[in-house]
Amino acid sequence: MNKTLLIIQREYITRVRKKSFIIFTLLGPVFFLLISLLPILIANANKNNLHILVKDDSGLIPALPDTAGLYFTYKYQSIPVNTLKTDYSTIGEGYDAFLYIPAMQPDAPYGIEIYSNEQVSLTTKLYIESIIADKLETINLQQHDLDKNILLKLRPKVDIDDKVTSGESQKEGNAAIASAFGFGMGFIIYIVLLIYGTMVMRGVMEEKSSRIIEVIISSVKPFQLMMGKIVGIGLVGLTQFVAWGFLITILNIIIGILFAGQLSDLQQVSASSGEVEMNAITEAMQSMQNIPIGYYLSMFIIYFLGGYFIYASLFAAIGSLAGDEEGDVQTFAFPVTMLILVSIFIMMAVVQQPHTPLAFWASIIPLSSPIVMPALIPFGVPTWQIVLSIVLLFGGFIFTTFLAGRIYRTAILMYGKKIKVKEVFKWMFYK
Amino acid sequence: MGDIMTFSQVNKRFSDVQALQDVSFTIPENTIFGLLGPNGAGKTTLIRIITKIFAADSGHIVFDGSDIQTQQYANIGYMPEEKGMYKKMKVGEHLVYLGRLKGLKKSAAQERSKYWLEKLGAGDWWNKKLEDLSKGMQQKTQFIATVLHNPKLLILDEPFSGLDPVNAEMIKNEIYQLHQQGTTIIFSTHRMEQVEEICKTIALINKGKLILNGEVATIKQQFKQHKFLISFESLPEIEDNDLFTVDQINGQSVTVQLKSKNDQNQVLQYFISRNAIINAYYEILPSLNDIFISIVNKANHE
Repeated sequence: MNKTLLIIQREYITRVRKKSFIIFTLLGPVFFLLISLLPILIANANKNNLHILVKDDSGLIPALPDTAGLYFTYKYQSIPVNTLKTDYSTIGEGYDAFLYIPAMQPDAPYGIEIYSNEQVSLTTKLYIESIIADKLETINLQQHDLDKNILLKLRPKVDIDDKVTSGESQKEGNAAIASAFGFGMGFIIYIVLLIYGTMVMRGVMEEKSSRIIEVIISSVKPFQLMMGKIVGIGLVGLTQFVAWGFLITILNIIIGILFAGQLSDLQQVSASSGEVEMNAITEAMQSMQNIPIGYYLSMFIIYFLGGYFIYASLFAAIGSLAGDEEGDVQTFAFPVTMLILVSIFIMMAVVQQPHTPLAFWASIIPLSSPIVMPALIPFGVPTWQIVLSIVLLFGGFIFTTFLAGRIYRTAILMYGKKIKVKEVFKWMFYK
Repeated sequence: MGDIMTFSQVNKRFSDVQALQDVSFTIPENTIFGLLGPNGAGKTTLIRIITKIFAADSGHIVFDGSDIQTQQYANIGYMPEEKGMYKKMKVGEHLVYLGRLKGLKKSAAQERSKYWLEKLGAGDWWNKKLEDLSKGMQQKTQFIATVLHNPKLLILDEPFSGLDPVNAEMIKNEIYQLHQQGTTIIFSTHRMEQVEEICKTIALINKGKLILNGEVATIKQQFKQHKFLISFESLPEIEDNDLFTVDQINGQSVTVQLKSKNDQNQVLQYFISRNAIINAYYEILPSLNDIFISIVNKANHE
């Protein structure tokens, strides 16, 4: 078996079976979902079952459908309204609230009242309003002999499409979606570079300080060991991301089933409370369909790999410079961490203003392009710029692994004495 | 008997230090070879060149008929002075991993790891984590990792440091056995009593230069100071004379320093003629330690 493969295998297996890895991989999505579900859970915890007594004097609303936590009862229609208004909580089993729908015209639904001890929540109120409004709408349409579709046509939806005219082709654009998508891709790469780059650095430091390094490099070339470690840890990262994607999908399905009621509640509420919001969502969905996901994904993978290899090899070189004291390495790690941080700040600026010289340069320089370019691509980047960026990315990867290899093979055996920056530069270019 | 290994004009320079300077010597076949020198003399540099960790600036090292740079890693086994390991790994998988890095197949690596663990009385360690072992146990594991792939050349840097006498003896016996089986062994240390016990031939390096090389017995002869110890039944009176001076008196024994070499028989006659009863009479050879110190001191004064 090839020795580099053997090293990759060890680096991978020893990390993947660690308890900390398994826990982080399993709990990551749970944590993520907890945060995203928090509003629902809080709302849920806050909500009691509400039994509402309904008296409908209009005859227009013969039934109100129950929903999670809301139960409607049509009883005691013969008892006078004024009695019900005061005695709803003691009549029969006792009710939490009393909803009174007076005699009214379907086009003038005035005087609907709800009585309760405590303020009825906004969601409850919105829900009842939307159901009644729906029923009245149907009745009104029938009375005027109107088709709902005609009604909708009377007020056509006005929507300005933004078209991007850069380069050869015109693309459908949606600034909000593009920046969200780009930001997401750039941000994931940023996280990967920091977490797994640091993991490579720690791995190298561990080999150096435990002195195993001397045994290993009397069996393989230092470069093989360095690359084996970088690839192995890269695969660990990939595994974690795939596992997260998988787990989040599964958890979403489970939660969808468990909380189906509550979720549809929320949707109904939003449907009635804000038609505007709903439109925005449908619009977003349509724009999503226009996004060439396959193309973005392949770009993402290219920059993911390129960026990871560039920064992982830099971090490997830094790890090899570490002395026996923990603090030494910070001097060298700081500039590289700064490069990543600066890149993410540039990325944040660039998704707001995607067509500036800063955006251009940051997207082709290999130290920042892995974070900046994926964020720019949804805004439309000319093909020649992408090609140039990828060529430079590849060149940068070759160059940094070469330099890192040179630093690594010398520094990995240096103990005791503190290594100066000047020396490091000498190793890079001197035989 | 031929030479298994030849060093010719080996040079290595680190930015401001000449670590090795024109080092040339040979290692005869079928010996345990001692590589000696004070700290910082260049021993580790030389070993790292042999183990192909880095290359010499100039000069050649030939092992078993071919240049060291063309040797397979599999032919060499190296146990560094600072013995490292992946602490989180289990003994078995650690050994198998290192064996496979040396080119062993997985099955062979497993088989031999088990064989060696049994041999060193550690058959039940397979699933123990290295960090849970005592230091001596860890060192046994490291020794096994070094010899697992049956290297033709075995380099041991201070193999006994940190071992208790029982384990040191055990490892020493294994070294002898490997030597019997034809493994060339380079043994690097600054513990001279171990060298005298184990090595037949040595090279002494100081400040990057070879200052002494040859068989231990020959070197001792070369550095002998013509001292003899005479043990008497009862201590006679000794006057000043032309033959010898008294170096030391210890109970019934006297150490004498000959004034000119090859006069040992006259010394014996001197006492016999004075009716002294002699129980023992033998030459005192310098220890390697004495030679080492005197040479290094001399070299450092130059």
